[in-house]
Amino acid sequence: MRRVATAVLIALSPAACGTARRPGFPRQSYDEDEQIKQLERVFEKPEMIADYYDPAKTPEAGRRDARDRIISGRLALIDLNYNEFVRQFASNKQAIDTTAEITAIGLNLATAAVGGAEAKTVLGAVAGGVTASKVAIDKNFFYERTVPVLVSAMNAERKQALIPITNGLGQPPEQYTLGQGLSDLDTYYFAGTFLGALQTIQADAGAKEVQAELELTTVRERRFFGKERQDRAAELVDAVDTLSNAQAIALATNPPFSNPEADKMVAAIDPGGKRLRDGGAARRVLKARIPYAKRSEAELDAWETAVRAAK
Amino acid sequence: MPATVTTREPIAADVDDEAVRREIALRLKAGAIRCRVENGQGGRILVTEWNVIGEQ
Repeated sequence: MRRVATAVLIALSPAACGTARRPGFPRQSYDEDEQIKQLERVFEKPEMIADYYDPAKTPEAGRRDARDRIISGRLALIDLNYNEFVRQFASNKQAIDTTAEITAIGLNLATAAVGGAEAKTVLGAVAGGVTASKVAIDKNFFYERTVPVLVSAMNAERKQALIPITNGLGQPPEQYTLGQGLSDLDTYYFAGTFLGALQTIQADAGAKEVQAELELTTVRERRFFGKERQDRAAELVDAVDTLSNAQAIALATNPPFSNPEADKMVAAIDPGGKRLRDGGAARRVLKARIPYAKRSEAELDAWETAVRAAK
Repeated sequence: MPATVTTREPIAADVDDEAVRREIALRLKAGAIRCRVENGQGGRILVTEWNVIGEQ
């Protein structure tokens, strides 16, 4: 009896059945694993970042190329690993389903075919166990409709998170610093995780609360759009990136000019007040606030003086 | 979707398109995730979308 059961299990094992390695996914046009290894050899070197900030190793003229190389290399690595990650779940789900179903069918057939009450009882119990374990896996392991929903949420979120990186790479390194790029890469990576996807879904559930709209009533006049004023605002945005954490926090805590509309906007994008304790958040808030200045001479002067004084 | 805040600002009728394009570029430079112009009943509206800090 034991030989019959063993033979059935071996015959119906995934290897013997020739289960596809990644059902639902055609072969890639390149060896993904090998590409990941090659990229890791280059872009996971811990000294890369230190070298970037060392003027002897990365002179001013080469900084943009170096920044782009680090960011785009790590971006490619994140993308390749994400593809592997997504395919692994599709593969596991289908592989487990196929394996469990075929094994259960085989065992049920064998139960019916073999003689003797004892053999039938044992094989029946094994078949029941296999079916039951599949059900347990289905219930417990992300499954059924959950994975596709999470993958969709991750894909949508990754697209969003990619925008500041592609925008940033079009700017010189003084405007889009390597630090900012690495921070954006972390956000991009996180967008491709189940935790990130769950946060996205939660956010969608409360979309009305989360996607706040601020109707600003002040009509933006021609003066507001004047090229000289826009240029001054753009220079202020650049200058904010050069502020240290402490300087940015000080300026975000005490803006140099009263502007209730800008205050409202700041409160909406930073409801937790992170700008008051985190330099990166303070810089982001300051940069976002600047376009909402009314751009009177007095307001622009106040900001320029304050940023100069802070440095 | 990440938590976002969208601001909507009316644009005066005599503002030319080139000036609005420069403004959109400024907003993106300042960290906006999207910026566009919508045509509303009362005229053009500058629509700018920002990520909420700590929510994306």
